[in-house]
Order: sequence, then C-alpha cells, then structure tokens
Amino acid sequence: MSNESIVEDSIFRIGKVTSVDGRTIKVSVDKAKNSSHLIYKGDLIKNVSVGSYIKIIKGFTIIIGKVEGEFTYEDKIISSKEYSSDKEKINRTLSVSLLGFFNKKEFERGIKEMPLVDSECYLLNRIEFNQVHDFIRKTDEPLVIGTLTLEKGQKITVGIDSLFASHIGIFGNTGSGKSYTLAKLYFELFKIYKNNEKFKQKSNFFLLDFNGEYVTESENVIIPKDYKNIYRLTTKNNDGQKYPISKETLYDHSFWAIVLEATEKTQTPFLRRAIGNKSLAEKIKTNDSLKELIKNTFWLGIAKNDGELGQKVLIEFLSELYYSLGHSNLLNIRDAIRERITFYAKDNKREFVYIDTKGEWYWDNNMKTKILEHFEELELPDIEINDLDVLKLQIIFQYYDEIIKGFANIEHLAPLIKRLGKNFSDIRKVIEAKEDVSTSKNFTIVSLKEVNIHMRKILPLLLCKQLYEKQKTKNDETSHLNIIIDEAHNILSRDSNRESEQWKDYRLETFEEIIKEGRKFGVFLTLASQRPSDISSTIISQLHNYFLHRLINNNDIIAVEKTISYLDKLSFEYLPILPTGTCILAGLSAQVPVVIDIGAIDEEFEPNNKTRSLIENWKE
Amino acid sequence: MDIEKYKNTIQDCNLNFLVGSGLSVPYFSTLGNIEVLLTELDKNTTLTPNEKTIIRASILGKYFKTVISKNPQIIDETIPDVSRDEVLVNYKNFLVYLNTIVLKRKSTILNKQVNLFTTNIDIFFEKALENNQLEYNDGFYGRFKPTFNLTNFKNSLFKKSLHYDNTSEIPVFNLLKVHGSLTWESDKDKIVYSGLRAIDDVQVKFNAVESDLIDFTKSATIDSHFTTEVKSKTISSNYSEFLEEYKKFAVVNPTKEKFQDTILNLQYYELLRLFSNELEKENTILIVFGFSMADEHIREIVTRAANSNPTLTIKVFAYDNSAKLEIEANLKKGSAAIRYNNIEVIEIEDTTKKFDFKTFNDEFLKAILDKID
Repeated sequence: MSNESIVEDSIFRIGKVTSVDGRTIKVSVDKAKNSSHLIYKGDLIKNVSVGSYIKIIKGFTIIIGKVEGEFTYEDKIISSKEYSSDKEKINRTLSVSLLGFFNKKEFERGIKEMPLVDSECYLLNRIEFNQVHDFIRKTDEPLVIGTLTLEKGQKITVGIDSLFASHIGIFGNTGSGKSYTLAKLYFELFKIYKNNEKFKQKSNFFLLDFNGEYVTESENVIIPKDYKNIYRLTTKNNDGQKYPISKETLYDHSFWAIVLEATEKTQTPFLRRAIGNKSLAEKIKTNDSLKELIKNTFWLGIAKNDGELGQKVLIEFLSELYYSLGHSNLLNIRDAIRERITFYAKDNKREFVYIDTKGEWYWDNNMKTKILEHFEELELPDIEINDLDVLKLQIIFQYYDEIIKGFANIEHLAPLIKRLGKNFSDIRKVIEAKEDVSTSKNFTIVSLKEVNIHMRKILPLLLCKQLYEKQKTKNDETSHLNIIIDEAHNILSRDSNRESEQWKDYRLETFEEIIKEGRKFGVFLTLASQRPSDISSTIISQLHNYFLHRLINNNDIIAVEKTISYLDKLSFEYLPILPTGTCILAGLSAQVPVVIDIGAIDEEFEPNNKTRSLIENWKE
Repeated sequence: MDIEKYKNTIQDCNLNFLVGSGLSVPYFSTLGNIEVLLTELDKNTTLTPNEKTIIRASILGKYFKTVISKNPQIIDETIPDVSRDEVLVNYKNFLVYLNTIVLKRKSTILNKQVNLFTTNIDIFFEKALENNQLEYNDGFYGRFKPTFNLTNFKNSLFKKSLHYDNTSEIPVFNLLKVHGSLTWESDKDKIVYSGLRAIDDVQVKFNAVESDLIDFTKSATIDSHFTTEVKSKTISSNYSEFLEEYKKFAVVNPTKEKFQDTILNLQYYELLRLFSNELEKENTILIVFGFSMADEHIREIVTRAANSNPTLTIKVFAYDNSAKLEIEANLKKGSAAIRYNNIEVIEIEDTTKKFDFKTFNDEFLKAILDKID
C-alpha cells in the first residue's frame, strides 16, 4: 500500500513552489509533466494547464490553487545539441492563485495557510477534482446542467435549491447560447419534477418571451405542451389569444395606472376615483340609463355656462363617447348640436345659447328642451358591452364629470385621456377578464412576438407586477414563483427615450423591488439578456447566480466586471472568447467559477432560435 | 466508443500496437488447431519416431501450403487475387491513417515512433509500408548482407527542409516481428535478411512429399485422426527432407515448444524484452487487435506490465462478443490478479458488425483522424 502511494505521488506530482507572493504563487513544473494528459489506472487525466486546479501540500495541509497563467523558457544549460531530449529543454512555470483547502476531505473556499517555497504540487485525482466541483449542499438535490469545458466528461451539477431559489442572470451576445441555457435549466428541472403533485401546487413559473423562441409550432419547448399554458399575444388584430386576468385585477386602479401610464400624483388618484365609482358603472351597464347619463352630463356642462370650458370640451365628450361605444349615431347628434349652440359673451352676460334653423335664440330651460330633443334620436348599439368597455366609459364619464364640475385640472388629466384610446384598444387585444383564472398547470409562457413596441414595455410590467402582488398577498411560505424573462433588456433598460422619466423610474423600481424583496415572498427572477450594460446595475448586482456567455462589447464586459463579485480574473478574461454553448457559471451555487459546456436538450424541447444559414436557403 | 478520449490518449502516449493473425484474414485463414496438434504430438508417447515424423510433416505441410507458400504472391501483384488485395488495402489504410495521426501530433516530449509488435510471420506489413513509401524499421541494417540487430530499432528519422534548414522528425514504424519472419534466415549466430528465398527451396521438397501427407480438418485431433491413418503410410526420406528444409525458416512455429534454434530463441526473448520495456514507459498505450491473447508468453508480459505500470493503458479490440469473453478469460480480467483497472476489452457497439481490420481502421483510426482535422 505504501508502495502504491509512492507510485501515485510520482505520477501526480507536477512540480514545486518556487515563489509565494500574496495570493499568487509560482510553481516550477517537472520536465516530464509537460504533456497535456496523463494516464492513470486506465483513466485519462488532464495535466496542468491554465484554468485547471492543483493541490499544494505543506506538511499535512492541502491547499487548492487555480492555474492562472504559465510561462516557459528554454533551459540554456541543458540545451546542447549533443545528447539531449526535447523535454529536458523546457522549463515551465505556472502562476497559481490560491482558492481554498481541503478540510476533512471536503473542499472549502478561502485560505487559512499559505504554502512555502519548495512545497510539492500535485494534480488533483478524480475524487478530489469531484469534490472541488461538487456544488451540492447536503440538503440539496442535484441537477446536471452540462460538462466542464476544460475537462470533458466531468459533469457539472448544481443544487436545485441553491439555483432556483435565487435570482439568476444569463448574459451573452446574441447567438452565444443564452436562450438554450435558459431552456436547459428549466428543462432539467421539469424533467425531474413535472409529475410531482406538490411541485404543481406550490410552484409557479412564468416565462416572458419577447421573440417567440419558446412557442414553436409543436409547442413542446422545455416541456410537453400538456404541462403548460401558452399565450401568443398580438396587437395586430383582435383575434389573437388573450391573457386572462381576474375581475379583481380589472377593477384594480394600479393595474390601469400601468396600462395608461398614469402619473403618480394626479392621474393615479383620478383613476382610483373613476374605477371606484360604482354608481357610474351601474348606469353605464344598461342602454337606457346610459342614455340618461350622456344627456345629463352634457346638459350639466351647458348649464355650467363656463366660458373657460367652452363648447369644445363638450363636443369632444361626445366624440370620445362615440369612439368608445362603437356603432351609434352620436356623431350626427354631435354635429347637429355643434352647429346650434354657441357661447354668448357680451356685457355681463356669459352663457350658452341655442340658435335653431330659423335663427331663433333659446336660453335656459327652453334651450334644455331643444338640446334634449337632439338626444331623443340617440341610438345606442344593442349589444351588451363588456367589462373593459364599461371601465373605459367610466373613466371618460368621470373625467368629463370632474372637468365640468371643476374638480380637476384639464391640463393634468388630458394627457391620460389622450392615451386612453390607443392604450385601451391595444390592451383589449391582449387581455380578457375572467371570473376564474386558476389553472392546473404551473408553467405559463407568454409570447410577445406580435405585440407592438409600446405594449412590450407595459405588458411585462403589468403581468409581473400582478403576479408579484398576488404572491405577496398569498402569505404562504411554501409557495414559490419564478419569473423568467428572456431578452430582459427590453424592459429593464435604464436608457429609453420613448418613455417619460417618471414612468421609467416606476418600471425599474417595480423590478428592483422584486429583486430586493422578492426572496421573502418566494419570488425569483431569471433574466437573460444580451446587453447587461443596458440593464440597471442595481438589478445585475443583486442577482445570485450568473451564467455568462460570450460577451464582445466592451461596455457589457465592464458592466459585468463592475457588478459581479463572484468572478475571478481568469474567468473574466475568458468572456470574449467563449464558444457558443459554453458559459461561465459563477455565484452562490458554485464554489468556484467554472467554465461549462451546457448539455444538450432533446431536440423536441429546444427553443426555436437557430441561426439562419443564408446559403442553405439559396440552394436550388 | 468515446473517440475524443481516444484521441487525447493517443495524443499524449507512447504508441504501441500488438497485432496477430486476425489481420491477414481472409488471405490467410487463422491457424486453427495447428498449435494444439503440434503440442499434442510432442507429448504423445505411443507413436514411433517415424510415425511422428509423418504426422509432423503433414501438419507443417498444411501450414506451409495454406500460409507460407502464399507469401510470394503478396509481392507479385501481377497475379490477381481479390482477398490479397482486400487485406493489403486494410494494411495500407491502417498505416496511412496512423502515419497521418502521428505526423499531426506535435509534442515536445513524445517522438513520432510507432511500435508495431506482431506475431505474424507474413510480409503484408513490409509490402504495405513499401507500397506507401512510409519509413519503417525492421531491425535490419546493411544492403549486401542485411543483418538483424535489436539496436537498430528506435532509430529516429529527421528531415531537413530545403529552404530554411529546419529539421523535423518524420513518423517511423518500428516493425517488431516477435515470432520471426519468413524473410529471416539464421546464419550461424546471426539473423540475415533472405527475402523469400527459402520458400522456393521448401516448395520443391514439399511438392515431392505432398501426395504422401495426411489431410486433416480443423476439428481433427492426433488420437482419433492421425493415429489410424499414419499406419497406412510408409516412411520415406521425403518427409525428413521436407522437415529439414522447413527448418530454414527462422520463424517460431505455432507450438508450445517453440525454440530449438538458439539464435532464434535469443532473438525471440530479446524482442519480448523490448516489448516489455516499451510497456514499462510512462504514459503508454497498447492497442491490441487481431490477437486473442492466447499466447502465454506475450500474455504474461502484458499482464505483468499492466500490473506494474499504472500509466499504461491497454485497449484490446475483440472481433465479436465470444472473442471478447475469450480474451477476458485469457487475461483473467476481473480477478484480483489485475491490480489497476487499465485493461479494457472493447467490442463493437453496432452488433451487426464485427471488429475486423477494416472496421477497426474505419471506426477507430479514421474516426480519430476525423476528429483531429
């Protein structure tokens, strides 16, 4: 046995320490250990190279270091032409940074003791190598996600707890394999748990897909279609799938504050008043009372005799109603009335006057009768209007009501009403209100491929916020929500000229809150993005686990360097040269940053993000 | 088969091959029971010396006819022979693939030599090496009287480029024929290169005796088959003349009692020592195919080296599943006698195929070569 260990030592010894300088030490490599592999007991073992680990033995202490660089110079004394072997000529020196040590056969990060000059250095044997790369805590379950790039065949497993109960960031240039990595993580998770009842009840996964990569024709990406809900939203027409929201959410003013991009100080309280106005809602629901309401509101405006308000606002009111109600003859009525009424201002008389076709003037009650005559002809569409329309009308009525009564400032609220039409018509294409929105499937994919740019900003926020708030109020410590956002720069970017500062702040704050506080409520984010420099640094730096693919842009690399504390110098330098499908895993779930080849997903479950081949398509 | 792993192994290992009679199939059939018969014959006590001579002549005669006498045809390509060409192509591919692999292997600590240990006495390797103008070393030195000497192995060849005077090593195959070769002839205390001269001489003697020989099948045994038939034969000088002439071949005959000739005996042991030395080197791979590991001497060396050198890895390619089982039994695989787990017997994954020479070339060497490019 002792003989055995001597043999082993002679095979695994690769050199000795020649200098110690802080955390960096230099190792001179034995001349016979310059091949790239060694054979031991029928096993192929990778020899030392940049990126590999060595153990340095100092007495009984075993210190683990990572090779960060190597240098060679020719040995001038031995380099004679006469009688030599090539291997004698080369002196190889490694620069090694210390990482951790073995404590009772378990690897631990951190350094307690420094090596001495002349301490012997060895390759790690298979068991030790596995221990350094064993990221699974005792209470955790393993998940195989790929193999080590520098050591083919070495599987890398991470703990399910330490990965999925954390915020994950997947960054890399386009075409570097981000989406594949994202899919792989969840593919592996679902492979294990998809039929587990408790898993179905307790956890919820929500994937936002901006480019439709996860909704292929067969709908089997990540998991078979039977296990998930897919919504392909579109703003191009009204026939697309719609994301269901509960009635409760529909009457939540903060929901509409997001949809209508309401300002916090004036517009949001207005929305609260409008949506909370139950009596208004009741009146809108039936045709007769609605007619009554239109008449009354209009007359109220006239009766105010307010020159500031003018007839323009009242005419606008009718137009707005027409566009919200659809088929009605409101426009004819509007035009008729517009010709007949004017605002008369002379001496101290300032009031509306009605002039009929013969040129006769009417005031006060006479005028009222004349005007109401016009409304007698009003015909409203005889179809039941849905909740969304009711809400829209509620907002319109509330707005004109408040304007007419002088409760609200027209300058403050007018922008909101301007947005109302467009945003409403967009939102009704993508959502629908339902009494019951519960589902037995715990994985939801929402594709925003066909959604216009405007809605792409609003919808994710809307859906995430709603899910987050719901999870927050659940108050169930065992439940768990994973929000997965591919191409996250779409909604988490700091720079966007399209939107107001205020709104942008609100958008970022919402996600920052999820990042900062989500953990307490079991809400976790998985972000994938090709522009880490674009994403708020607060968000990036708060992530727990990083999968870093190739990054070329200098700004992105700097953003990663500045914000990610788990990355060592060597891994960092790998960033621009990583091949597709290879990434660096760093963070809480890995003891040491490792470069891994992401394992394959069965073809059926792959995301649809193949790089196109031009010449393939041009072939006859 | 994890080709990537084999590629890396070959990249960083001293390369050794051990090949046997399986390579030259179908041109030569495998030896069958000849070894068993010759051994049985030696042990037999009931037969008279004359009867033994007749039987020995019959057995060796068959060996001469089916194996040895077919060798001149390997060189003479004017005689058409489909199975010869087929085998020759296999040899050619094997050597060319291997040569390319070694040529592409740039390493400061490994040379570009490949050791080919073979128990075959035929001349396919020499023919294929020469046909493809590959550099090889068969242990002979000299032109007028090429003489065999162990020290001639391991010579490296370097080429200088015409333009810049750079030197570069070129791949060399060391051809180590541990059971001798038909091209060898013993001359006093030396082994000299004879070409295939001896075959013609023996052929004359064989023709004289051929009709008197006892024919036998693969399943024949000394007891049942030869003993009755030999009674009907009368001893003539033809038998012993044939056997005397046959002795010219400096080859180890397929029998357990292999070594009568002292010089051959010596060379045989020296070659095995070289084999053993090569296996003791660090980071060494031994690839075995076409060889059943039935030869006790060689098997002994292989297992001994495997047990003492943990940096040696041995890959034995088995023709099919039954061959695999046989080889594993021969190597006592799985028993406590094997210390390190460094011998692997490999059978083909696609069970519709067999691991013959062609398959080995295509699915192993060629596959590795494809990985390199």
